[in-house]
Amino acid sequence: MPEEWTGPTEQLDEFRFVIPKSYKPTMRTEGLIFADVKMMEQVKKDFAPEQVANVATMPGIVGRAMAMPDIHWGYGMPIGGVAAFGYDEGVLSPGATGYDVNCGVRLIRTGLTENEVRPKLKELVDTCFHNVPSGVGEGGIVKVDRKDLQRLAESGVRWAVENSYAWSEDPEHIEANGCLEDADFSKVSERAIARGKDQVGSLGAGNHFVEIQKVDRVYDEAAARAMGISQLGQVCVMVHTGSRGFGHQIATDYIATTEHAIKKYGIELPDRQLACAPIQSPEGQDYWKAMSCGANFAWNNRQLITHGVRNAFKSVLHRSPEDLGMGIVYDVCHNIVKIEEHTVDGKRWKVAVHRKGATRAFPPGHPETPAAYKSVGQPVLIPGDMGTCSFVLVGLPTAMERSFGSSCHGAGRQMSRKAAERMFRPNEVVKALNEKGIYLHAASKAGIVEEAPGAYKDVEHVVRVAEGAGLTKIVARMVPLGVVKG
Amino acid sequence: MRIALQPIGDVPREVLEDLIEDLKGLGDASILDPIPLDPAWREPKGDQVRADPILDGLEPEGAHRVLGVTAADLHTGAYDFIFGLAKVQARPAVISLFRLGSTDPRVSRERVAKEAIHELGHTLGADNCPNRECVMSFSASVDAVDRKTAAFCGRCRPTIEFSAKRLRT
Repeated sequence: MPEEWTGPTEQLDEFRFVIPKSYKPTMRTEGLIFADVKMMEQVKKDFAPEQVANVATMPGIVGRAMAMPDIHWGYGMPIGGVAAFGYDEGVLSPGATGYDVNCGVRLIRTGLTENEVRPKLKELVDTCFHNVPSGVGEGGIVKVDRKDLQRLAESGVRWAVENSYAWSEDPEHIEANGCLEDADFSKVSERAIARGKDQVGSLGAGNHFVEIQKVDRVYDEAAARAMGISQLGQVCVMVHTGSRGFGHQIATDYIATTEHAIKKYGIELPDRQLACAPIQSPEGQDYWKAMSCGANFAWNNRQLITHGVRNAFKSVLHRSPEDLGMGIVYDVCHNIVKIEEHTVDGKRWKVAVHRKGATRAFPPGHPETPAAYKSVGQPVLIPGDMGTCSFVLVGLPTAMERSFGSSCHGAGRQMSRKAAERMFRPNEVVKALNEKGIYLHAASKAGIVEEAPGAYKDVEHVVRVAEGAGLTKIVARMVPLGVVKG
Repeated sequence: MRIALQPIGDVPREVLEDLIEDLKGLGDASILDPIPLDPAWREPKGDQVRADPILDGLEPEGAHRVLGVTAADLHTGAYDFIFGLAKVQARPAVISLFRLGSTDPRVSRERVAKEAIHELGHTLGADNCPNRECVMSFSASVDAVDRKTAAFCGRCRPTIEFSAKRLRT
């Protein structure tokens, strides 16, 4: 195997590289990677461009097969991948959606400043850790029975509102209002139900976290103000997690289903991991309904964690979450399929947009952009790796034509979890964080080194490329004060 | 990027004209009409002036950034004296000539230029840099100013270029 990917790329402009259709005879469209020259060198090292070319061969693909600036190797489709398939003749692929269905990020603001939080920081982080179960297989904040699980998987965050885990206005500040309406619980396997029942309101392992952050840069005052970010030093809480074992099992089940479906429907693929089914086939529809359940589970999961965080602030600071101004800025999905309308080559298409490790980034004025953000664009939340910074961005109008209204989702790994384990020592990572004034409470030592800051690309570089490419605009930067990790 | 140079109190004209030349790498600078040093900024005891309120009083007058230049000795609550102060990723910055002087006028000019670039670097989003040669390294003495270069290091340059490019669009 060669040292790095050696396929052809043509540089369109400063931030766009095209993989021409001629690269593979089966490619139905071009591949497009948003990156700069420096980033492209890194990207080629892990062969992810090959995966972009593979996605370009899939049936019914509309426009180009794309990758955001945080592209790296994933299961079938690269992380950072975006691909749209025509609603009538296209396909749905669980592998191209990702195992952690609706892994995503939520940002909760507070009216507090760093000075008010510092003296209570350790207590706040420890209480959040206590309130929000973390780690592999840990139980959740609430135990739900089968009926509850069905209700929350089918009705999304409305379930949390009904059960007083959410404020009535919370759903307005969540992508898709926290519910994919087509969810059908009967399409979810018993195994997924068994795994999901005890995990509602749990963080999970890996790069998932709850972080107490402060705003340390404001790049766009008007957009920041619209989000209730009014000053430097303002404290926010970021929640990064997904659908846990429930979504993972749904993905696993439907990867198996679609592996049969490709034979049944005669779909030829360069990589079995891209197994898919026609959207209009029974298999495709079943996956769509089950994936919607997974997405709704994830939104409720982040909602229950929000509830745990609000309660932690309440019990430590002896003020109500309402009084502390702990409203949701926004909640975005990273691994999901959405049915959307887009214009490609002057034609209006109804498409299934797969975003895997990519974030929807709708511009100002888009009907799905929440009312509060109509004039500034949909917030896009980019979690940093431990100890570095996170970003709030907004969608730009050019993102609609260039990337199906999508942008990056994070830093993107540049080192495998195993490599990071060899490279870093947990105590040293914790010490380095402490020196920066960041307090860490983690469930496992492995989690600390796997997610050590050096294991990721420079998130700042990624968001700058995304802005240069006309996808999103940087609004504010946050740095961590305290971290709860799985 | 358009930079407004705002003389505060009595500032030699040639210092400002040298700055226009030395800031060319960042943008086009122009000189505003001098404003007086507000007596309220002075410490009741001693000769020093608090830097923070100066920043709040600086108006860019249509420029992207405004750099106050004063001969007064500046300090903040945290530091006994400072060569300059800026709001990060915002418009205003200020430098003090008071401790940057040298018997060699070329050295003085270099120091003033470095501190001006350093403070304007903050307004473009760069933090203090651990690289001792980078213009963004923090200088606690004129020796440290003399040791660093007037250039941004490889880590700080992309930050500066990103912000500067954004101002152009």
